Amino acid sequence: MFKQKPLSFHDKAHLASQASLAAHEQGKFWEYHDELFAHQDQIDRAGLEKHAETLKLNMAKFKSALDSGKFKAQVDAEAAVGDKVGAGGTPTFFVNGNKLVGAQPVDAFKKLIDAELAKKK
Amino acid sequence: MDAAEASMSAHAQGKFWEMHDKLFANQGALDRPALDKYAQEIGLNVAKFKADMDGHKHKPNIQTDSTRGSAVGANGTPAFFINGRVLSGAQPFEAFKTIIDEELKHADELIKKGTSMDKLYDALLDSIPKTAAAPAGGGAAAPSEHVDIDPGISPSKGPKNAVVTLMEFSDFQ
Repeated sequence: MFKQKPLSFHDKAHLASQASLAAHEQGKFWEYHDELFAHQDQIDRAGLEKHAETLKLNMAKFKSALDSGKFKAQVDAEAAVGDKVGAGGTPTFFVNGNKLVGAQPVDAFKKLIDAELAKKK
Repeated sequence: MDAAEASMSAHAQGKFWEMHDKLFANQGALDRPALDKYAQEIGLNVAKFKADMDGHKHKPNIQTDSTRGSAVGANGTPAFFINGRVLSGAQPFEAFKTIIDEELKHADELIKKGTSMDKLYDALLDSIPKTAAAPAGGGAAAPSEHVDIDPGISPSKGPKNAVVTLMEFSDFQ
């Protein structure tokens, strides 16, 4: 599950977060997420629109969502929750609520997930 | 690993930070031909650079660093330590400022109590609050906190009633 946490010093991250939710509205969040991740140097407004076109989103709807700031409040709300639960930096992960911070190796996830699975047995 | 070796090969020629910045700006191209190209661009002795790379001259040092990182809980990148206090992941400026200001205040107190400058760093490390200290040997095994977060309408994959839910707070920059 993905929660938006644009960092204040990432000047383009807030609009990129809004764009990902505009793609979510059209059922293509993960496709858009992967496009942005693969092109992290192209996330200004023009880049965001280009990636939306690549995924064949309804461009009128996509642009209007960005122009009107339709998802701005949702991004702000999720970022505020992130601050509250100690997700100050990115990425921060929670495996059943257990915190894992930063880019972590797969073993770190495996340990937490195996522990949670064991609890359920 | 190649990129880490390249940074240390540059360090051997006094240009670690120049190479660091090249690598950071070109994270999409870190294969060997690209590394050689960066070496040339920052004005390294390329023959020496290539010899270091081919002979894996700096590999043992990097492995030692990496092992040490794992031992103090720096399993993810970036991981920062400010007077031994861990700060993990890409963090906003304020997170650094808070810890640095606390450490400055703490250092002033120790100096007032008569701690000499050459003993100051050791004294600061000794007084790290247990809660702020890096977890010994693998932070992931002992998560410091447990929180309950409303999933809401956020994008997700897999069944809603999954046994394990992984929630990511991140951005795209």
